[in-house]
Amino acid sequence: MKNSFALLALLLAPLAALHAADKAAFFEQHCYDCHDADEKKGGLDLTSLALKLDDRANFETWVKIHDAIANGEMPPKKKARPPVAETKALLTDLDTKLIAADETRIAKDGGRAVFRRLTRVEYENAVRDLLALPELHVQELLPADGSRHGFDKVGYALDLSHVQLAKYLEAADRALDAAIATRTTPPPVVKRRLYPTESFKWHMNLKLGSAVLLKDGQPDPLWPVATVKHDAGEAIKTPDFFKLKQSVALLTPNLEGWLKSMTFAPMFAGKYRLRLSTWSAHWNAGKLEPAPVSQTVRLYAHPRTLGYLEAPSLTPRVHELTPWLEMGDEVIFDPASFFWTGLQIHQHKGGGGLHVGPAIVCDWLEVEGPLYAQWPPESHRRVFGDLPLKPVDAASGLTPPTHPQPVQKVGYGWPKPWEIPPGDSKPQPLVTVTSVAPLDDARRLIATFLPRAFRRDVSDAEVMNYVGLVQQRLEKKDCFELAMRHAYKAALTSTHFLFRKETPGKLDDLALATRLAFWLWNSPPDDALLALAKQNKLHESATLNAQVERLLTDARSDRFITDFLDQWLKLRDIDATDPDSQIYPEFQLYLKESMLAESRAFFRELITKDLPASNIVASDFAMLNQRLAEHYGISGVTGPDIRRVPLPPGSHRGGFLTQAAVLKVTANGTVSSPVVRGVFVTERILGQPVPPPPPGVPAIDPDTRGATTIREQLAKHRDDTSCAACHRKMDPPGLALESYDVIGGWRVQYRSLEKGTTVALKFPDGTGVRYKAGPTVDASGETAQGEPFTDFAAFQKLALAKPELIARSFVMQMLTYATGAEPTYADRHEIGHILAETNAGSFGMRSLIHALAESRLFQNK
Amino acid sequence: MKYFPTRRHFLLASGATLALPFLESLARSAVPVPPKRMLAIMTNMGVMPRYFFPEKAGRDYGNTPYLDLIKAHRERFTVFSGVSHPGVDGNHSSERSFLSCAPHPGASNFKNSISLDQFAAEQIGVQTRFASLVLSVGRDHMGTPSTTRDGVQLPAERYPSALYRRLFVQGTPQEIERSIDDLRKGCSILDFVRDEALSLEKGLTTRDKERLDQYFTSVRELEQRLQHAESWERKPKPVVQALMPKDIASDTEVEAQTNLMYDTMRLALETDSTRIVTVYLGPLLITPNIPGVKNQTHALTHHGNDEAKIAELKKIEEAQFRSLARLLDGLTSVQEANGTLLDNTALLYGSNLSNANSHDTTNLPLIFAGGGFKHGQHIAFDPKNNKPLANLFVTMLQSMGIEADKFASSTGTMTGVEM
Repeated sequence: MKNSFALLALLLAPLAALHAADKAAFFEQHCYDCHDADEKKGGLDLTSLALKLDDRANFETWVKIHDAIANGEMPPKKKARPPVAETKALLTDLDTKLIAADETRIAKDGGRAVFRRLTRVEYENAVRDLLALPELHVQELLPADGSRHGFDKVGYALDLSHVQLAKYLEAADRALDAAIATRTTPPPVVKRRLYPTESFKWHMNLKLGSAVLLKDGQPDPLWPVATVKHDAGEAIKTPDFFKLKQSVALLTPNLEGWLKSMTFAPMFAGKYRLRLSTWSAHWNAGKLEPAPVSQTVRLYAHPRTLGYLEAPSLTPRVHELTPWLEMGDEVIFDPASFFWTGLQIHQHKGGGGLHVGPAIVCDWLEVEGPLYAQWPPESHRRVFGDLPLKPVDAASGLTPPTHPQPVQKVGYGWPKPWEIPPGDSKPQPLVTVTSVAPLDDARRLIATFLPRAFRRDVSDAEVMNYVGLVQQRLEKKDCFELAMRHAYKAALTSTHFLFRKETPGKLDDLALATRLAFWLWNSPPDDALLALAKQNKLHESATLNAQVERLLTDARSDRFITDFLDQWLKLRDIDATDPDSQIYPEFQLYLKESMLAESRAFFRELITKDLPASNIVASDFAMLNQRLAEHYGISGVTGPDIRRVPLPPGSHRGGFLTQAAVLKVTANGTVSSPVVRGVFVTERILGQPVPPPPPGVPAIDPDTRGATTIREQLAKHRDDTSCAACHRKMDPPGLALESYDVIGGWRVQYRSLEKGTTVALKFPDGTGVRYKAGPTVDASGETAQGEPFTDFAAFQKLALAKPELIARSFVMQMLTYATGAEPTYADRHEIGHILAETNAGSFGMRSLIHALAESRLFQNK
Repeated sequence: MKYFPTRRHFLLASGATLALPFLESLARSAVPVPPKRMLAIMTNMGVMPRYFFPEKAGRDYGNTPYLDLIKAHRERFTVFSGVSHPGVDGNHSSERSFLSCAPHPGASNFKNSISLDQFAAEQIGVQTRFASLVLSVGRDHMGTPSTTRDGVQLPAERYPSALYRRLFVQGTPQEIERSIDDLRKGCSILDFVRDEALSLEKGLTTRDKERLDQYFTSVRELEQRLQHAESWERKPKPVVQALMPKDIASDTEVEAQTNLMYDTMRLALETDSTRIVTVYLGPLLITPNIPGVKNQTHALTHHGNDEAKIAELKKIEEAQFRSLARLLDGLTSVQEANGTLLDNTALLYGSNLSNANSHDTTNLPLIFAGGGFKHGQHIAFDPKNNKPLANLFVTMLQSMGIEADKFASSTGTMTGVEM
C-alpha cells in the first residue's frame, strides 16, 4: 500500500513540476487579475490552488476550471482570448491529469459502482417474476428508497436498516399468501351479463336526475326524466324494477358513495374477462342527439384503472378486457371524459329533463371468471410443484396453516349475493399441500427455487442449508406447508436475493446478464439470458446485441421505460400536487393518466424507431389520444388509445419538454417557476451542472393576484450580477417554457383569480370558467451563451443546433441508471466514443442503448 | 378521563415486578416518580406567520388568532420565533429534516441522520413495551420525520384502531403463544440469513463491505427488537376504560382524524406503553371537509397573497389549533403522582415550513409545552440569524434524563427555557 502511494507521488511530482511553470504562466496572464488572493472572483484563488487531485474537493474544483475554459466561459467574454495553442495545451495537460486521478480513485474503490441491494421496484418485479404473480403488490410495504444524481439505482441511495428487514419479512409473507393455493379445485367461475338497472345505486342516479332509463335507445316512458328532483318514489323499491334489463345513460361523472354504479365484486382473485357495451350521445333536455365527439369510459377497481374505452356517438361499441381482480374489488363504470364542475344536476338544474350536455350509456357488462388455465396455478407450482393438495388432517397433531376465507362483498345497496354455485357459499375446508417424504420433497423444491431466487446456480450445500430450516420446523410439528414457508421466507430475506454482487474489473457473463436485465427490464434476468451467460456467450458482441434487441422488444421493457422516466423526467412526482380547481378546472384523472401514457409511449416510439436524440427537445410528432389532443388544441384524434400523430405547424408541441406530464411535475398546482423548469432542462436535458443556491437567500413570495408575473418577481436574477452569474445559466429554458401552464396547456395570458379580463369559455354542460385572463406571458430570454430567443420554438431551434449535447446528456442519465454509478470525469472519453459510434445515425436512441451496452463503462464494475 | 383509579392499578397493569406494599402503606412509602415523556408533532403545511407569531416578546405578549385558540393553557406553553435548522432548505423536503436537522434535504446526494425521537429511543426505549411510536394523520408526502441512524424513514401507524389493538388488546393465550412463536421464527430466520451472509463478504471491496455491514447491523437491530417484543408478549397489556376507536375512513375529515389519533396516542402515554411519540400531520395534499374550504390545502398554501385563499387557509389552520387545544386539555386532565401528564411530557408542536407560500424554512412556527418547564412567554430570537432548533432538542433530551449535551446542529441548550 505504502509503496504504490510513494510510486504515485514519484510519478506525479515531476509532472507537476514540469507543467507547474507553464500553468502558472497561463493563469498569470489570463486569470490572476480576477482569481488571485485579493479579488477571488467566484471564490476562486488560482494563485494558491494546489494540484491535489486525490482530494475530492480539489479534484472537483479543477474539473470546474477545466470545463469553464473548455466551453469558452472563461476568460469572460469581455476579456481577451488566450492563444488557441496555449489553451489547448493547458486543457490537454489538465485532462490527462484529471483522468489519471479519477481512474486511480475508481481502481482504489474497486469500480465505478458499489455493492447494493435491490430498489423497491426491482424487489417487487423480482418477487413477481419468481412467483409468477404479475399483479402482486408489495412495493408499498417497503420504505421509500433514497436518490443520488436523480436515481435510486445508485448504491449510496440504497441504505438498509432494521425497518427494511422487518418489511422484507412481511412482504415475503404477503407474496407467499398470494402464491399458495388454498383449494383443491379451481374457484367456481361466475359468468353472467349485468345490466345497470339491476343495481340499486343506479336508481339513485335516476332519482336525482343524473341518469336516464333507456328503452331501445330512447328515454323510457316508464321512468320519465323529470324537470325537478323526483320524490322518493315507490317504483324504486319494487322488485320488478331490478329485473329490468335495460340501458341507462349517465349525465354526470360517477360520484362516490350513493351514486356509484355498476357493482360487480368478485369473490375470488384472478383474471376476469370483462365485456362492456357502451355508447354516447348529446343529451338535449330530454332528447338524445348525436354526440359531437366520442366520449370515454373509465372502467376501474379503485384505485387501479382497468381501461379507458371509447363510447362512440349513438352506436354501441363492445370492448373486451381481461384484467386481474382481487377479492372484493368493485368494478366501477365512470364517464371519464365528463367535466366535473362540482354541482350535481339536481342541485343547479333541477332534474335531468332540463339538462343539456354529454351522455354516456351503459348497456351491459359481461363478466366471466376467475379464469385459470391450470389448477393449481403456476405461482403455487413454483413453491410446491405437483405435490397433492388435501384437506388438513386435524388428527395429525401438526400446526395447520392459516388461510383466509374468501368473502362475498354484501352490504347495503349491493345486490343480493350472486348465484354462487351450491357448495361454494359454505366455508371451504382447510386444505394444504401434503408430502410423504418431506425432506426429499423439500430438497427437490428448494433446489428449483433457489437458483431462480438467487439468479445463479446454487451448490448442494446451500440447498441443504435451507432444507435444514425446513427440518427445524418439521421437528417443531409444523405442517409441511408452514415448514416450507419458513425456508422460502428466509430465501427472500437472504443477501443473495436482496443484493447484486459484482466483482471489480470486467464483469463476468452472469453479472453482465443481471445488469442488462435490471436495466432494460428493471427485473431479474430470465432463463434465456441466464443460459447464454452460463455458456459464456453473452459478452460476445453479436450475442449481446441480439439480447439487447430481445429485451427491448419484450413487454417487460415497459417496466424499464416507466421506471426510467419516473426518475429521469420525475414522472414519479405526478401526484405531488393537485392543480387548483378554480384556475385549472379542466384537470381530471383521465387527463393525468393520459399524460403519463403520452410520455411513456413517446419514449417507446423513440426507441422502437431509433429516432435521433434531438427528438427529446423537438419532434414532428406526438403520441396522443383524444383527451390530450383536446388539451393541446389539435383536432382529428378520436378515442382514448394513444397513437402517433403528426404535428400540424404552429402546434407548440413536440419533444418531451412540451408534454403535459413533464410540465406538470416541474410546476406546482398553482404557479410555474422558471427556475425549477430551467434547472430541470439545464441539468437533465442539456447535461449542464447547476450550482446550488447560496445560503440565506429568501424564497420569493408568489403573487397570483395578477398584478405581477413571476418574471417580474425574478427581476433580480437578471439585474443583480452576483445572482445573474448562476441564474443566466439555468433560468432561460424555464423562461421559454412560461408559455405552458402548470398542467401543460398553452397560454398567452396567465390565468388569474382577481385582476384580468373575462374568459368566455364554457364546459359542455354550459357552466363557465371562473378564472380570468391576466398579464401576458413573456417567454423571451437569452441562453447561457447569450443567444436571444423570443419564444419556446426559438429556444428549441437554438438547442437543436447542438444535437451532440442533447445526446451526451441522455447518455449520462442512462449510464447512471444502467450501471448504478453517475458519470465521472474518467468516463467522458468513453461517452465520447459512444457518441462517435452513433453520430452517423444522428444519435438514434436505440443505437445509443446498444452502444452503451457494448461500452466498457457498462461491462465493468 | 381517568383510566387508573389508583397508582396501584397502574403498576399492576404495567406488569411491574416489585413487591407491592399494602395499599395503606402506599401513601406513606416513596411514590415511584412518573417517567418523563417526549411528544413531537409536525404538521407539513406550514403556519401562516401573520396569524401565529405575537409581536411582543416576553410574558405579556398579545394573543394572535391561533394562540387565542390555546389561550387556556398559556402558562403551560412557550411560543418561539426566530428558530429553525441551519442549512435545512429544500422546500417540502424539509419535512425529512424536521427531527433530524440534517442539512440540504433537497440535495441530490442527501443522506439523512438519526431523528430526535429515535435517538431518545436508543437510550430509554427498552423500558417500555414500545420503544417509540411513530404515528401519522392524513396523506404522507415526504415520509415520516422519524429516521434511523442510517437515515431510513420509519413507517407510521395511521389507524387509531390498529394502534389501540397493539396497545391494549390482549390476545388469547393461544394468540400470545402464536405471536411468540412468530417472533422466534423471525429471529431464527435472521440468525440464518446473517450466518449465510458471511460467505458473501469474500471478494467484496472495502466500499462494498461498508454497504453489506448495514445488513449485519440491521439484522442485529431487528433481532433486538423482536426479542424485546417477545419479552413483553407475556406481560399483560394495560387495561383502559376507553373502547377501541372506530377509524374515520375519509381523509377529508382532517380534524376528526387528528383528534382521534391524539386521543389514542394520549392513552399510550398515560399507560406508559411508550415514552416517545412522534406524530406526522399530513394535511398538505388533502381538501379538508371544513365549511368554506373548497381547495386542496397545498393549493391554498400557495395563496399568492390572494385574500380569499388566505381566508380559506386560515380555516384549515384554525382547525389544527383547535385540535392542539383539545390535546392540551386532555394531557392536563390526567393526574399523575407529581403533576399532570403534560407536566411530564415535553411537547413540541410545529412545522417544517413557516410561510408555505414561499416555502420558507426559517423562522419556524413552534410551540413548546409541558415537560415540567416554566412557560407562559414568547421567546423571540433574531429573525435574520435564527437560533438552532436542535438546542431545544437537547433541552428535551436532558429533561428525560438522557445525557446529551449535543444533538445534530445544536450549539447548546435552548436559552430561556428552564425547569
